[in-house]
Amino acid sequence: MSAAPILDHPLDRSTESATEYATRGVRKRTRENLRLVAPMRVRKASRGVFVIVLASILGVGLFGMLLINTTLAQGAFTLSELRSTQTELSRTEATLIESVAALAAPTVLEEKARELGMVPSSTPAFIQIPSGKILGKPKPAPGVPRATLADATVGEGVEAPSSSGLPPALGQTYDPAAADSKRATGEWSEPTLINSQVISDDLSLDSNAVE
Amino acid sequence: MSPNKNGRSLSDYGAARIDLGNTRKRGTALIVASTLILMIFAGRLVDLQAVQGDKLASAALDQRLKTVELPAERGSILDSSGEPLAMTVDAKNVTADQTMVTDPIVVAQALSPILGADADILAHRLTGDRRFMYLAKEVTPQTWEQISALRLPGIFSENTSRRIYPAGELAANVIGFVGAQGSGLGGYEYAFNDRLSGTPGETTYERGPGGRAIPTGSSVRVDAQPGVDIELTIDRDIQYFAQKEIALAVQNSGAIDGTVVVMDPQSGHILALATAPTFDPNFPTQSTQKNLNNRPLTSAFEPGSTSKVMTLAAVINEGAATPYTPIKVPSFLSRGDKKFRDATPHGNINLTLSGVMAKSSNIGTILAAERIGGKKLSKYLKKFGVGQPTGLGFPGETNGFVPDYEDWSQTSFPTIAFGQGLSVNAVQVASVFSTIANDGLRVEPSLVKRIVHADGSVEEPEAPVTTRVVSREAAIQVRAMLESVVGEGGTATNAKIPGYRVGGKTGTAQVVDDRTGEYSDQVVASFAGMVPADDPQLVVAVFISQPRNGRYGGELGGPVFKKVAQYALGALEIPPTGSHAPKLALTFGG
Repeated sequence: MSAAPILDHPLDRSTESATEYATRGVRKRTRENLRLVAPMRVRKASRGVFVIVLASILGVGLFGMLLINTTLAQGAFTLSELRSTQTELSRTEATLIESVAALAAPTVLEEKARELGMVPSSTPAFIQIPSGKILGKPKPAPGVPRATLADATVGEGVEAPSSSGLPPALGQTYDPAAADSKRATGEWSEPTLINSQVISDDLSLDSNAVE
Repeated sequence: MSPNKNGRSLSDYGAARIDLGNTRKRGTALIVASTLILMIFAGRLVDLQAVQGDKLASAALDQRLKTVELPAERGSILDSSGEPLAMTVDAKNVTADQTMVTDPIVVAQALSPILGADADILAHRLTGDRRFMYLAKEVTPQTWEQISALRLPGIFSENTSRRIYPAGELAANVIGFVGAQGSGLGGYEYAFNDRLSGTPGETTYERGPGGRAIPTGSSVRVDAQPGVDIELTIDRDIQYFAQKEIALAVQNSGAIDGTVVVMDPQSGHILALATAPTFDPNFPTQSTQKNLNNRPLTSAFEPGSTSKVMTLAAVINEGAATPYTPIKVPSFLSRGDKKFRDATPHGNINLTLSGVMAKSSNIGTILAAERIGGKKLSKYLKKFGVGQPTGLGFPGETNGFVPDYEDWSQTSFPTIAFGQGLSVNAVQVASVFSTIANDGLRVEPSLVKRIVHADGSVEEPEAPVTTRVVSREAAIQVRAMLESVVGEGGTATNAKIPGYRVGGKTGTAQVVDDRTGEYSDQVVASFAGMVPADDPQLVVAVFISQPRNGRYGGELGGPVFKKVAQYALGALEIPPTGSHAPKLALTFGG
């Protein structure tokens, strides 16, 4: 350093060297703030312990991650299994609901009943409890030939109901063959009006015959 | 700038100086350059984030968002006990990605037996470049399981649903059917389609490029509202029995069609509405158009003698006659330009009003009706509900037709009195008899018992409209006369049910030929009755159109009435009253 006087604002820089210029601030600081400081004592942990601590943190962390991942994976498997079981069961349930509904159809019930040898009942009758009085006129159910709804509406040939299917009212039974033959031979005559024991003619026919 | 040896600096030579030799100036220049570049970035950032930010963000969101419709489950149609008559089940559509199908013929051969489709047609649908092609629609999940077990490449499935009618033709005319889209095309499936369909929902979520939902993205879900279930008043067992019996009767009599209506006169509930021929809603296309209608409500016909119940009830209610009133019935009656006769020629006979009903005398009815006049009769007809809307909400429902009193000609009154010259539908006739059964109080017929929402809440329909048509006393007297119809000397002795009191009326109404506009030789044979006659719980009305074997209401309608009514009495556990029918005199004098 030169022996030139130190000023806060050197007026003339041209004579300064580069070094002098660069260290200007430091020189100023060290000048003003010199004092004695107690030296610091730095304690260094032993390297081995440090390594072990770090390694164990790492180990625990990695292990934890492994554990979590495994659990997640397991959960995902269970989830997917349960889901597919649920789909299976839903499907089965839907199938069963459909089957039950189809089996509950009256046509099916009638067929099954007839297969068991059951016949439809005829006149209903009731037993009054506790008197035991019978209301209505009970009769044994007649055996009726097999004729289900499916046969009738599909239009295939159906056996004509036997005469026991129609009530034998007053000795008159409806016989389509006889009626047809009567028409053909011109014998068809309308039943008489009064004191008629047979099915009386309905008087509303030919009501608009104009003369 | 240090001058060189010669004492000159570069600027003396005329050169512009960017002095990089000096560290300080280098630093400054770098800072300036970096600042400029960063300012460009910052400007762009501000532009993107602040100025265009919202627009860009929403554009990106639109790209990510996908809206999927959540279909609503269609409601079921149930019978009066809650069993399903129409229901929706899960189904699968089988689709193919043609680009993934390596060998269409082999795949088609494998699928053909499972789908029941022609292998050639399937092979044709499997060939090509389309990524999505339907192979089969609405197959059962079991069928799909069979297909997926084959692990054919390029064959996939789509979830869908199918409408099934587990009871087949049972009450098909009431239920109706649906079309390929799953919406109703006929019957109550059509009339109630909006309520049955419910409201579809939607879910909107963000999806990534793979098509998967972004878990942390926004998602909005509006749940679908399932359709409601409609519970009918139809009793499935009585409906089944009635359908079976009318189908047999139509078959045996060679008729073109037939109808049975079973009603509860006190509630107005229709327990059975059967018609033949009918259709299977599972296969609606296999039936002719006219069989798809609800014939009991869409078909209008002239009622004939069953209408005499209205006329004679009106006469009694007006106090103009009683069941014992003597009526001298001549062999014919001239009114206007026509001569009216009874079907069987007779001389002058002495019938009581009961006899007129029991023998179904046209002339006797006209004479009785003339005691009250046409104007009053037309008022009663209106109150009985004929020519008025039946109000059941079916597509194509007819009101029937009764000419206004002002338009009646001289022959209208006598004709209408015995049931020709007006038209009705089957339910209206049943309702007339229900009114008499219900002590003269008409209860509007109904088919819907209640509506059940998906959450279980129940919606009861409004109480039916009631109309006082005739007094209770008049109804009781009419019922007594109706009992003589099935008694000795009446026209329907084969409608009797052992142990029970039965009352009813036959009808053999002439049918107008559509081509000539004149009455033809064809008839509608009918019988409508009630049981037990002294406290009726059941009304059954039978109509058989244009039979070829047999002709008369008593002959054809009576037996069907008896069978259906007998069954219904047992099914509903209606005991006989144990009393005996009054024996009304049908004739008078010596």
